[in-house]
Amino acid sequence: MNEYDITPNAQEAAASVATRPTASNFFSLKRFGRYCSKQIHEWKRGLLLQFFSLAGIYTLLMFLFHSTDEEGLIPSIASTGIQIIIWLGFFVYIAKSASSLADQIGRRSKRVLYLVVPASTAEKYIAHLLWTIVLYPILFFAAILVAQYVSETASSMIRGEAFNPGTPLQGLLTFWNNNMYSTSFLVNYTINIIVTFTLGATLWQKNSFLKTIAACFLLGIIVIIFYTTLLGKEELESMFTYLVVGNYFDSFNNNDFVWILNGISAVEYLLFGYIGYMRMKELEINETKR
Amino acid sequence: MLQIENLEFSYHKKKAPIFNGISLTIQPGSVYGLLGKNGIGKSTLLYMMCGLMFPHKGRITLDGVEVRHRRPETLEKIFLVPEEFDLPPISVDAYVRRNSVFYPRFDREQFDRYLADFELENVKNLSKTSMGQKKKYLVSFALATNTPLLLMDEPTNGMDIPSKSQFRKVIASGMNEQKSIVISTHQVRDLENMIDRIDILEGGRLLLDSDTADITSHLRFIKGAGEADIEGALYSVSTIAGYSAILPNPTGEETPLDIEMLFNYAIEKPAEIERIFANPVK
Repeated sequence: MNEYDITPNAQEAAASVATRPTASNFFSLKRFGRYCSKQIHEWKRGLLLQFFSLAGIYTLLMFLFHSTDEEGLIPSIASTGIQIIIWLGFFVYIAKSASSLADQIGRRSKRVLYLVVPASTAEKYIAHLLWTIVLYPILFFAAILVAQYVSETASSMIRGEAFNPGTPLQGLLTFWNNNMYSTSFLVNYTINIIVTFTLGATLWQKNSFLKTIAACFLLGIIVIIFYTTLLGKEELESMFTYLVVGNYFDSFNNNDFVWILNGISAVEYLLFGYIGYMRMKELEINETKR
Repeated sequence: MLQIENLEFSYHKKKAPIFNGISLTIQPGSVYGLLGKNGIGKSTLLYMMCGLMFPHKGRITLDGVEVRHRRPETLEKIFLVPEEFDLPPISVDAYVRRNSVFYPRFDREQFDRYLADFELENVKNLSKTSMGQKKKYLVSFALATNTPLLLMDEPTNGMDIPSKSQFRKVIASGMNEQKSIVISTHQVRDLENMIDRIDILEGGRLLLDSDTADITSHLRFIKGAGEADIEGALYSVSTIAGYSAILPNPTGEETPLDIEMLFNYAIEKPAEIERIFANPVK
């Protein structure tokens, strides 16, 4: 065999390539699975580090919080203070994870390797959304669960309190049910954060997280200015109110409010999701001015 | 087969275009040397060939499909070894297992052979290896994918002298009639005895697109010659060992191609190169 001859293995592979059925260029479940598997294996060290960091921070917080409850009758996790900290931490963590797309496409050297992987833009984009909707929340709450038990164990050992860890992730969901906003609001709000910060990552690859927060604030201010300007003009205000809430206005209650917000939120994340996808599809190594 | 048609591109509207109507066909079975000065657009052209940048005018197709769409069926036929890249913090085996599945022609035996040629080990963490080693791992993987088109951007940057000769050996053993390899470099000596075709980019156009046999049939390259020997030379430089020169080759006598000298000649006298190779401006 001379050096320009193809090897038998490569010949077999080439023959199998010629005979295999054509997979969709938009989405193939098999290719998507391979892509997800590749990412998980490449990130596993980083994910483990995140898990232990989160578990460590929340163990410390729950342990320290115990000092306010000297008898240790309720577990730390069930206290309102800790629950607020957990949910705040969750939203920040999810937003940061959604922004992490910018890390994959930010530096030119990373962007090249991201774009040349033979998977479609849809597969890469959906994989990112899947991680932030499923993987990162699982990782976060697994860390909280570990923190819940470790902090209670530490409290009972160091402070001599009764070991009372409570039920796993006690009170975290009822926190939402007992408040004005329902669990559906939580789900919608989470998806909205993910899609917004993912869009932010496709728009700004440097300091994506902070820039997206700034953009959201700016958008909020514009909305407030817009609405307060309308409030000054009664006719416009009543027209605007009619257009937005229609004849629901008279019988307006919390439930309607939640569903209106959920509806607006759903439209927003579909729109942001589509724009983000199109940005990824047109992503180049160098952004050029034409 | 990759086809570039009337490619036009510029980084800024007001600046001179990087490419001004370039056309080129990459045929299977050849190793192309893409040469040019720093910043002339070699990397940009490679990125465009694999759909990572989009032309402003013209189109680039691989087997009839525009590469800018980055369809998986197109991407699995192309492998790019970039100039700078990061490898993930996983072992060589894990890297191969997770990435080879995207390339249906991947051959593990070939990969192991290239690793042996480069004297590389199956390290546990690829991200902790030096840039030169990373390059060698990725070149080995790239060749083992057996993609019809393999693009390499400055592949010998960061490699030491023994690695450069190993690189030449590996490329030669990894080449076959189904593949085409495009190597972009400004270190032209690294490509000697390795390439079949030379493409020189200059001033937004393709100054030369010829195979090495055609070049040596038109031009004679001499080294260590006396002053009398270089009479009528198209290009000459004085060295410690005498003159190195390019002369016309009316008899068709074959001499070893000196890519560096040819490159310097092409850059200094572009009109002459175009006239000799009857190469209409591409």
